Amino acid sequence: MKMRIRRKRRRPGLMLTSLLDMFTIILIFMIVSFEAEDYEFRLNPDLQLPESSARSLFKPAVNVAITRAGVLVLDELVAPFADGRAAPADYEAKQIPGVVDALSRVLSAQQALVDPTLDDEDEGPIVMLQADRDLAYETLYLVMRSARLAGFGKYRLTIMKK
Amino acid sequence: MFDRFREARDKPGELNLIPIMNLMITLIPFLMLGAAFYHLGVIPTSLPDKVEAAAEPPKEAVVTLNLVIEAQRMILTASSAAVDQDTLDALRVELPATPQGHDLKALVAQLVQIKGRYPKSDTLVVLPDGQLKYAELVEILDATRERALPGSTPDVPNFEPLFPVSVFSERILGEADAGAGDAQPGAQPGGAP
Repeated sequence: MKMRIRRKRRRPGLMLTSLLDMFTIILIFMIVSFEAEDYEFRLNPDLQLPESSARSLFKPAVNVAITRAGVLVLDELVAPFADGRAAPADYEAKQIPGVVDALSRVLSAQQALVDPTLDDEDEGPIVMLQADRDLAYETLYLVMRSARLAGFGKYRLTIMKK
Repeated sequence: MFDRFREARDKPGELNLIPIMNLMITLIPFLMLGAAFYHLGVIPTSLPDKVEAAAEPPKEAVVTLNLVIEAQRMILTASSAAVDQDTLDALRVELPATPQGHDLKALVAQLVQIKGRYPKSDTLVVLPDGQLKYAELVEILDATRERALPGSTPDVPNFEPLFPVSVFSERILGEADAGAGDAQPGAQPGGAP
């Protein structure tokens, strides 16, 4: 009678060492690139920012995005464009009424929240502009003028750091 | 018979990696949500402001440069309340475009020369052509804002400021050479944030 020596079949264990190496490297990379900010900013996906060597720090302000579809103030479309351009009447009048109205409302709301008794060292109403790299200057200037008419005198042009 | 027990006793216990894998699975998605894969910056700028002319001339000679940007050339002029008109006219320069685009090297050379004569000057009013692309304008502003000194490296940046305050204006047709813009008489550049 042949006796067969059966060895207990052990289930092969998972090789976790390699996976742990990979996760450790990914974790270190994520910790290094982690940035926690307390402001909310959304980069508009319909435009591509120009690259710049500017070293000014990113500071949040009233977000205005100029896309081919139109001008968005705080993610709300306030002035539609036709083929990336405003209406000819807007260029002649040197303002976009929709943008002026929207930003005026935003400024009023901001000023209602500001406590006048506080010693505010803020630089005043500021607009942060996101614009596509191929946008014509005349359209950019038109939006800036409209923001000026609404009471915003300073601007921050958002760029992608090189 | 006792070899099996000796083997089990002498064999070192294996690390239980399951808990640390749990930790990794939890931490990595959380950190991925906050990871910055691209970095944003800002270029502060303003539009011209109308201010009352100062009663007394400024003590130090400061010039404000006006840069007209056309498709085929750039025109650099200067304005100042403390410098005589002949000197300002001598600062005027026209820079034709090269086949690669606007001649930024020549522009920077001129700005360095003017900055050397009037070190307190820091304002540049840009008057681009209406069809100039935003990316090209940003490239020109990068050249006029500052320049990297010899020996500057990404790890140890060493920059010399040129004209970091930029003011956007609009050209008035028919006055291209004068660089006249949107500004009202007596207007001064608004302070950039």
